[in-house]
Amino acid sequence: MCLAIPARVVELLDDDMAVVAFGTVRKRISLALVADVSLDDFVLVHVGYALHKVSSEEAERTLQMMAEAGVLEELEEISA
Amino acid sequence: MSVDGRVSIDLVCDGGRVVEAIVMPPRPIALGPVVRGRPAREVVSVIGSLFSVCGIAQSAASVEAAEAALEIGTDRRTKQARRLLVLAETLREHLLRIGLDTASLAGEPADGKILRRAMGLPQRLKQALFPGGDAFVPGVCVGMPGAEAAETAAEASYLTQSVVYEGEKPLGEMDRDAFAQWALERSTVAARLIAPVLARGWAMVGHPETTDGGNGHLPKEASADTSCLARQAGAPLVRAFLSENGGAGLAARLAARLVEASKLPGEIAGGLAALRDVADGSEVPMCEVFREENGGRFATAFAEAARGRLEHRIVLNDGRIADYDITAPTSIHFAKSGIAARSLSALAASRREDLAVQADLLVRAIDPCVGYDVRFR
Repeated sequence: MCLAIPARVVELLDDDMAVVAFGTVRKRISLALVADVSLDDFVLVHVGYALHKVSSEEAERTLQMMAEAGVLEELEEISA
Repeated sequence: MSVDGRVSIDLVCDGGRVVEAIVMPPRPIALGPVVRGRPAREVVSVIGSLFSVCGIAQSAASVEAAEAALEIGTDRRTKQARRLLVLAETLREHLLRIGLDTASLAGEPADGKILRRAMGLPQRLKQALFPGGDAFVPGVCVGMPGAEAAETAAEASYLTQSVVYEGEKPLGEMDRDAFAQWALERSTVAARLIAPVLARGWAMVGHPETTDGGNGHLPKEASADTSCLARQAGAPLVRAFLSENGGAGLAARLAARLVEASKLPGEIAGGLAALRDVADGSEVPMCEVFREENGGRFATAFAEAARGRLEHRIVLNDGRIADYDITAPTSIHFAKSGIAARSLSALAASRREDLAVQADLLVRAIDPCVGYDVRFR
């Protein structure tokens, strides 16, 4: 299943790049497909690209369902 | 790091030839236990957020299955409007894939400005057709499309002409020579993707019948293909790149994406016009609903996403979810013995760098939105 994971933007870089946080895991992604992203925004991330901005409430709700479905287990394993 | 349901691919090579492709599909998501006991309406409302890469297609299949299982009649115009949203999402995925692949092959940054506009198409059409945003609530009815819907259709057409194709003759009706000539003119983003593929002699790479690759023993029935290739296989241009028994290489898959994308703006505009002819209150027949002895009901619905056919199966008891199962095309295409394994096992190139580029193009041609990792052995 192809999933986009909500992540918080923790650093804005040059050339439409950013660092996002999935919990304690950080990853460098491209913002080329989304306009007007600010620090602390939540974005849906898929294959290295931010696809959309989402509200913090929607991000939290989606992450909770993903956690219940076991989707985030690998992420937790990495961050452990 | 695998955080988005990635496919793992190991290519076992002998010299410049792949002798076996070992494909591990993403771990399936056990949705049933998570949503069991929740009201159907609540679950339908979160499907699009959970599976947001093709959230509209997922939501469309979900709400249709839910409406059937709840025995709520679906308004004919609403069903058609949802289908148009799925088409807009499919177009977005195709434009995105073409733009990113072209940039990747050329080693250049993608045209973010035009791709950002493409990203907004489905949401813009959704807001135009369902101003309250509730397109995927069971029983909802769409209004009559207004100027904003028509403007979105025009935007879809403009973007497609910029990224894919603009011409008198439909792209799908070209023959191979005309297609190659069009690519050489490099007038669109897609032409700049096709030109190097053809120039490098890669049209047939990944064709399962071009070699006796290590996955040649796999059963044909394991190779189901519901991608846009299956949907566009009847177009003369796509047929021109297929072998006699329907086998496809890279060019056939890329051509299928271009042909489908080039047709979608017309289908969206035509569908919007047709919405006005649908009488108020007319309903489509429900999907078949099966009843269980304990009073439970289950229904199945489908949606054609960019990457292939999605199937949602809902089991309800007293209006609450008893079980929920999704069959995604990615899990079929990237099954251990699926079409991706068969195609990847047919790769051959004198340079390892070329094999890597071919593998990337082929994987993304089979599924425009899958995350994956390729390793060579």
